[in-house]
Amino acid sequence: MIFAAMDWHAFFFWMFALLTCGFALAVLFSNNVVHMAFYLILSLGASAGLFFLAGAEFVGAMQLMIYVGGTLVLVIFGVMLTAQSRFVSMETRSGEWVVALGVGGSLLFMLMITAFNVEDWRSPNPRQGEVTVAETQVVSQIGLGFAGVRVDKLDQPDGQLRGGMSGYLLPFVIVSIHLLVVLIGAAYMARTKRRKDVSGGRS
Amino acid sequence: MFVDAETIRLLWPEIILIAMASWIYIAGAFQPHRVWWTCFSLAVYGVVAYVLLGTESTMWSAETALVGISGPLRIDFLGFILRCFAVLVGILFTLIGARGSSRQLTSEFLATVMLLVAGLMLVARANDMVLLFVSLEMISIPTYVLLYLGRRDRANSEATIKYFFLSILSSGLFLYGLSFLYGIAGTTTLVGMMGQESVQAAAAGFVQEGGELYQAMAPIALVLLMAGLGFKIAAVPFHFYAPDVYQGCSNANAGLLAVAPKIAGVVAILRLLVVAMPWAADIGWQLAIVLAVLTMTIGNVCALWQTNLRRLMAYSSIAHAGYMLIGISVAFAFHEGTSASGGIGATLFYLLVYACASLGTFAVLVALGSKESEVSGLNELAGLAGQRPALAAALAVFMFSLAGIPPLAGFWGKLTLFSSAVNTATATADNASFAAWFTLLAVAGALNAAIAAAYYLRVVAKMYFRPAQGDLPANGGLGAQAAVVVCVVLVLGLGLFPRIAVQVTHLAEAAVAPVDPGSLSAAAAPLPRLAGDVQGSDDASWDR
Repeated sequence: MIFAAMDWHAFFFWMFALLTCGFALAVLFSNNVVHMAFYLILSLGASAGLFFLAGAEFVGAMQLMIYVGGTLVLVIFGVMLTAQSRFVSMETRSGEWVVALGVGGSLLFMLMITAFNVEDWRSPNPRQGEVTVAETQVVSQIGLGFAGVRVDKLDQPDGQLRGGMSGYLLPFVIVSIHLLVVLIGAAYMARTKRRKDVSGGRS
Repeated sequence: MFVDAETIRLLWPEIILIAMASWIYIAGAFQPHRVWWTCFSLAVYGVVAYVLLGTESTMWSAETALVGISGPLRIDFLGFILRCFAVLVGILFTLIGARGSSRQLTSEFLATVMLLVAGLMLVARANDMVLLFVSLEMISIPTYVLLYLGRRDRANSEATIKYFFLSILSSGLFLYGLSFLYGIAGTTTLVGMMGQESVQAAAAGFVQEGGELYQAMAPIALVLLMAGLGFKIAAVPFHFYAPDVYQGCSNANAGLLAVAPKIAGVVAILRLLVVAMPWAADIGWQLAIVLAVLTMTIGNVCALWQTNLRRLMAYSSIAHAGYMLIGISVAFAFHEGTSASGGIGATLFYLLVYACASLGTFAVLVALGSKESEVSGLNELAGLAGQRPALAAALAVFMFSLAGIPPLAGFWGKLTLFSSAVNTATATADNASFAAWFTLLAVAGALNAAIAAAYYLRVVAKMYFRPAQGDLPANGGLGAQAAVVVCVVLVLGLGLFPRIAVQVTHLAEAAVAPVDPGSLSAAAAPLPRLAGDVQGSDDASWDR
């Protein structure tokens, strides 16, 4: 059977990788903002596929939910609600291309150097058969971590270092404070613009 | 392991600030009264200062700077003085800015400042990548809201949006860098992975396990983290937003931007890059030197022909970030085997000195303006000495201090920084490239101080030797005047008695800096633990 003979993992890897890169380029070369947002959805969705292939189901699911599901829908709504004309088109000047190529190119260059400098990553893993995919498909550990329970690296022998490890309750609580401030700011921005005459505030 | 009671106890000041900020948000909606809420929040800062000094001053004795870890927090002397300083910044900024906001918005303004101060205090304590990041965001997010609350016109909105997007970009770069750091170390705890007591263990263990992984990833982690934090301190090439944003926002907010992100950025650089990543020091010191020279020079040269005061102060703040990078490069070089240190202490001292003078300058500008009109042009200051001699004298003190003219605080700040660079150069005389680079750095710093004097003295000359062009309202309120007085006292005090502050900052350096590289290879001495009841809490909570 041809299906059994094919290396499906490699096939899906190439498929998702090409989709990610191709649509990323499409974002770059498109002039229409709505088209750009749509290509970005496809590109990010394909990279979620890469995460699934790598066995990082949670990250992949988050990629789909947060970027594809949340952020980009927001972007499209933002474009729809603020656009002056029906089709928003953006012309990129040549100077901007040069700057973008310089910045993006140097970042890409650094990432390539990093990736190819690691000896282990240049060739396939020789012990491929021994690699086991993590069995847990549940996120209860992450939940426990947010509730302040340490779930990983419990075997740290050094008492001093162990004392420094704890769950992520504190950052989790701080994020809720962030949301409070964001809500206050959003409420202020969304308020009607007649403020000036009401409060006599300066302008 | 749960977050234990000990950690909570150490966080009481932040908890009080956050709880009171929430209360002000709620209650301020029902009872908008500016003076009452300003006094209330000043009282809250007083209580916080009392709690802070009460819980912590017993931990530190004069001779030893102790280090301890409790949950995701790192308890050391550096954190302590920065927390005290954060409360001071909160008080000053409450005094400066409260009048600027309209009556209905006072409570929002005060509570947001309070959350920002809590964020600063958390940054001073963070020993965990995740906590460090969310604490830095706890400074950025209130800053966006404060910038927007400042004024309601096109220029202000543009400045806010510009700052918002660039700050988000910098946070993204910073997070990307953190992910590489996590990939290298496999843990989010800073001291746990490569703090001072386990530098060797972590690095050595890693070479065996992951091959060249950490060597390959160290440069990109360092560059990305430096880029993310470079935005916060407005270092070249991430400085370009500063002039536009400062010019667009109100004087009080410009003062906030000049101080709060800078404190947080410098502390994060010290904690994360200098102390937790000593294995990246060989790239780090070169990067910091190049950035320092570029930042100083571009900041100072561009400031020369500015006529807008806030733009001038923006370039001045860029230049001062460059001076601080001198200390950071010295601190990096310390890991490369130079015996001279003092970089971290000098950076901290300079940070305190700069923050006092800079906040003071903006306090004077606020005091000179009024609710309706703000001072923004340099020419508006002409002849100020005749009209408002006290405020003109205060502004002159701040300008002289920023320029580094003895005997004011700025002089001692520059002196400690440049001498730390010279010390590194002389201590590494056998290593030609080191010596040459650090000599060059000290020379560049001194030249820049001379350039900077030109534009600071221009402001003073405008005030004292030019005829008055118009009458400034000088109706900024009692709060701004009180803040001016506090800043003048601090600048003069630090200038006349620098010894105490220098000693304190060196104590902080002793707490945060790794032990002498020579003694690292010796058997790791047990870390001095916190005195009293904090001691043993780690083990106890582990057993629970």
